[in-house]
Amino acid sequence: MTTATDAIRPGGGPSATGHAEEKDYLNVDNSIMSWLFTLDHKRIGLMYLASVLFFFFFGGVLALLIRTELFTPGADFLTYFVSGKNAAELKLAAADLYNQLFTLHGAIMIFLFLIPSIPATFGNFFLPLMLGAKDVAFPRLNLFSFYIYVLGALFFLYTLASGGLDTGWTFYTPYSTSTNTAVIASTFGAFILGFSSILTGVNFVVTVHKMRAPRMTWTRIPLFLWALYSTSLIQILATPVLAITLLLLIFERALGIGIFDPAMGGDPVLYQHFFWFYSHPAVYIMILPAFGVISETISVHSRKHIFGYGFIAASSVSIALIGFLVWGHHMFVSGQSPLASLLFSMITFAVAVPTAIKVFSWVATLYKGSIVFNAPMLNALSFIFLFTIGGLTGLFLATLATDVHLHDTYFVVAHFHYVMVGGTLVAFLAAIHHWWAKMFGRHYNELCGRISAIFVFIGFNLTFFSQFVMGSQGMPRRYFTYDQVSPELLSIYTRMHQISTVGSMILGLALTFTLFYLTHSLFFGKKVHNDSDLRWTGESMEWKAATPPSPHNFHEQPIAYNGPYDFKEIDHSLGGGH
Amino acid sequence: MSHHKDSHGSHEPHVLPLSIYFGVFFALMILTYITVKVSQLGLGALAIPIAMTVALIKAGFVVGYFMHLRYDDRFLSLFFASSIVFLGVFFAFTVYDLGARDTWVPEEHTQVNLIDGKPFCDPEILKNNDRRKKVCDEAKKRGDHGHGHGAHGNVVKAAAHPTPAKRGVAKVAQPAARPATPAPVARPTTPAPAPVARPTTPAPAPAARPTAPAARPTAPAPAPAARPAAQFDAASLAAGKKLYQANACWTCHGNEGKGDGAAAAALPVKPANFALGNYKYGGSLGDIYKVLSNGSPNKASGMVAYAHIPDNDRWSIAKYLLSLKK
Amino acid sequence: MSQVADHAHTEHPPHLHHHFHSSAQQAASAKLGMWVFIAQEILFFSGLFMAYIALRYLYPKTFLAAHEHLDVSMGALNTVFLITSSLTMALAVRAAQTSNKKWAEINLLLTIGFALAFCVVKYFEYSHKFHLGIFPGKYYAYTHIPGNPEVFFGLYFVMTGMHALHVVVGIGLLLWIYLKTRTGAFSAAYYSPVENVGLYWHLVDLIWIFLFPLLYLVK
Repeated sequence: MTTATDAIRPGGGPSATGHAEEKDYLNVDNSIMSWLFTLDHKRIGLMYLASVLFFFFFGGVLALLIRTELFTPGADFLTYFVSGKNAAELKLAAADLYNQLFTLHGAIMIFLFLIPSIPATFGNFFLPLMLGAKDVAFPRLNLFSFYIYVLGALFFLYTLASGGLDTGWTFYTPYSTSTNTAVIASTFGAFILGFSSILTGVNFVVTVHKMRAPRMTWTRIPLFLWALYSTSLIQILATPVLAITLLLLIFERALGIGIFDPAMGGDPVLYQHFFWFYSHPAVYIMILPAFGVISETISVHSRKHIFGYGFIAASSVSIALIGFLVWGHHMFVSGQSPLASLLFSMITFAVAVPTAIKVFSWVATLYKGSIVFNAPMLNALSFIFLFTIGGLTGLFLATLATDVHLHDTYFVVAHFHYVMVGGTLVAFLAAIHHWWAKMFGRHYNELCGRISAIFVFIGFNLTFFSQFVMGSQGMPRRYFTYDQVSPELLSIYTRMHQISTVGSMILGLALTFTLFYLTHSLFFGKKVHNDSDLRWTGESMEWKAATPPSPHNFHEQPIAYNGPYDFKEIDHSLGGGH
Repeated sequence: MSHHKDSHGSHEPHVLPLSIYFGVFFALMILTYITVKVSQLGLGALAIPIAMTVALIKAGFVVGYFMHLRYDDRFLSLFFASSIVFLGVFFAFTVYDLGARDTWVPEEHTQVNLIDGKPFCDPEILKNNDRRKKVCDEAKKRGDHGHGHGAHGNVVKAAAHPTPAKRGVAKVAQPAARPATPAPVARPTTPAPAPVARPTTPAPAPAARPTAPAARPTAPAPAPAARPAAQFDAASLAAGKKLYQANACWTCHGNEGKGDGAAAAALPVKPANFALGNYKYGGSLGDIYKVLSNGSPNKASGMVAYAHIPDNDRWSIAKYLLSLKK
Repeated sequence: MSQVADHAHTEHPPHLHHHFHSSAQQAASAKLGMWVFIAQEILFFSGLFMAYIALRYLYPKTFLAAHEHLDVSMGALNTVFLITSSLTMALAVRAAQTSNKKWAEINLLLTIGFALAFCVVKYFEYSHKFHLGIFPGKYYAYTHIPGNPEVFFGLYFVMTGMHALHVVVGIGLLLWIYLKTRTGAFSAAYYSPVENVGLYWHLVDLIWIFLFPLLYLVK
């Protein structure tokens, strides 16, 4: 709307200028200011991508420190990072450090990586493109939400610098009202990040409703957008409750208003209700966009119309809605009333239905498709495998009786890492490979992509499958040492922790390798000169834009004459097409 | 999408007649008057439902007419309604759990009175707060008889008070501002339960969670267990002590019941430390008697059943163990 | 529409952003955005109301005793101020819709006036409380209410404080709209900022409609 982007408009009809001289959104203006004040959703998406990846690797390093400490049963690795007069003091200080590490790993990964990961990066970049719109509905609001993301992130960095945080990412009262770590700074950071998330959600909902290309009916919207739309609904309706919860927690800590802190007359279980009313739906904020990515990649790379379009779309919305009714399953052992637990347990099982519909539809899409095992497809297949394990183990935890045994053990840790890493992160990798050439106009190295996908899969399973085993044997989560157990258990725990640590190293190396070859391809990758250079294209609208897209996305308003999965070159009789 | 047919220019605004605005305004005023008047009648249980009904009607007027929702795109109404539905979901489950969570406790037993309690008259805070210092000094002067209100409740509160959440405040546990807050009663309830079969608890974070359920302490619970030594006659305590020695309890639990006997180091499940009040399966006399008679419910534990000791002696030992709590 | 709407029309109203096809699309987007934001606000305040329900359930007697110390007439006066400001806001929107600049200015000024009056009354209420020693949370220092009154007043300050914050933000928005109205930016063809600030202002009123009986009239 302003300076940077308007510069290209006056040049008359874009078709008049030759293809060679034409500017894309990346080189239209190279100044720093044109990036910092851009209103272009694609540039904002890329700025999100850079920040999100920074925090991902930051949180990843914390995870590796945790895993290294757990390689041996006693306290050793972390004691090198702390000081103390004698062994006992050293151990205590190291234990404190350990608490901070897992807290910050969780908080950074969730608030700074997982929640904005797919929606704020690929969502921002591709939502208007897939709709055939020039931009999101409120470009200035979009830039504003990026900057409040940055502000929130700064609060987290401030937390690090000023005494850390050791409450666990959930900030449970009453501990969070009495610990002397920087709870206020970090909760205020999360509060601000919440508004970034809300405003992105507002933008997406309005854009999907009001900015669709002509003839793009609700059944011609790509499934990625259905997923983003459902995600946005959750962001709008659940995040404000987190905001007020964290604000009340700040007041509780600063003023002692007595809502959550029992020492002041409050009710700590109430805090858990407040917190999980947001934070359970937040799990779906993290995973629903991943579902959308998988729907796109599976369909494009097996060149087949997605199976059960309507069911996948409806299941996204219904997961978003049912997701609001199950928060109590985080509170089975917190003193919640048994009958409430029973209800929450029952509804939790219901989430399995729409989720299974998705998985079955993806598998059915693969059936008799012309599958190409390239990097995005390998990641997508890996997603289906890992997410299925993650989802099914969720049923163990939803069962009241088994949950009492498994609660707060490594089984839970393994479960949510299968969903969040095996799910969201792997889908993030699928998305980045799937759209890389379209976004940057350069190819990544396909061989490297496949190697990375395979090693991520191996490293991930080594890291977390072993955690299922030790969790079911009673290894509690968040413990710094595990040397005080019977010899029998000790040998199981030690072996599993060692497998897990080795796996995490492999995973870490594979992801660093990914970052390396992707960055390399930004500068040295093979250029895409026109669309025939692309290794694959889809039928959804983002593929109809130039590569990389021009500042206003499309020279002419595209019209949705067909659906996003109507591949021309294949036999329609096999798919569930219209 | 559907309204694109017009050009850049005007889409005709939907203008409501002035009479509607003023009509709604007077309705709102009258409803405000009604709700104030009704509240003065003192209707008791009916007051809230009536006040909320009136508020809902007022809200309906504002949303429907001032905010034009009645005349606007249906989707806006849908979205607005959905926010109300989710608010309802949030309220319904939480309120349901709140009501069903535990048996009803009269509020006098759970309320925390800051003026009597430590956080309020914490000397650290008083240093920089003259106004509060004045209040605390006055409260202190009024002394043992308690002041104006709730004097009886205060004692109960003091017992309930220092349970879980007090980690931070516990440091400043000098005899509190008022003698009526007996510190010794407060002590014994504090220590967190030591881990049983699981590895060593590191520092605080894990502890934050288990405290939650206990955190609305139903006051009476800690009280009976709190003053153990006084309850038992000296004779049975002496007998218990003798039996404790004779039956070699000390080999694991230690001479003073601190769980530091010579054999303790080798055990996978560490023996209970009675001095800390760490009665793993309940701190009542009956609970201890039960463990002594049947052995620990934890199969990995070395605490086997001592049913061969005569019944009376087992009670004596139990009493002695309870008295070990400092 | 599309290409036709995009290229054929040479006249391009100054308020129309480039990424919209028509004023109608832009206005509808803005209004939907505002309503979505209102939904967000409702859920935001829901946390405060839920805290109120929970604590009232735990301390019924305290709440009854403590609310006596709130001044009903002050609360009622503020209710009247807010409702009246809602009316003038609605009239301002109507004036913008009918391109009546003068009326729009007068009504916006009135709205700002009532909003300021609300703040003044709130200021007197707060300062009276502070004078008595009724501070939020652990700073509470007033001994004449039995039970657990600091919980009630902690909640009172948070609820009315968050609402007052919204009032202050609203005053800022109203001033902005007023200044833009004076420059003649709004007419029947383009009044969407007035309308959306109006929606926000009605929301502030809406929340007060529930706060007032819950805090002041709970007998």
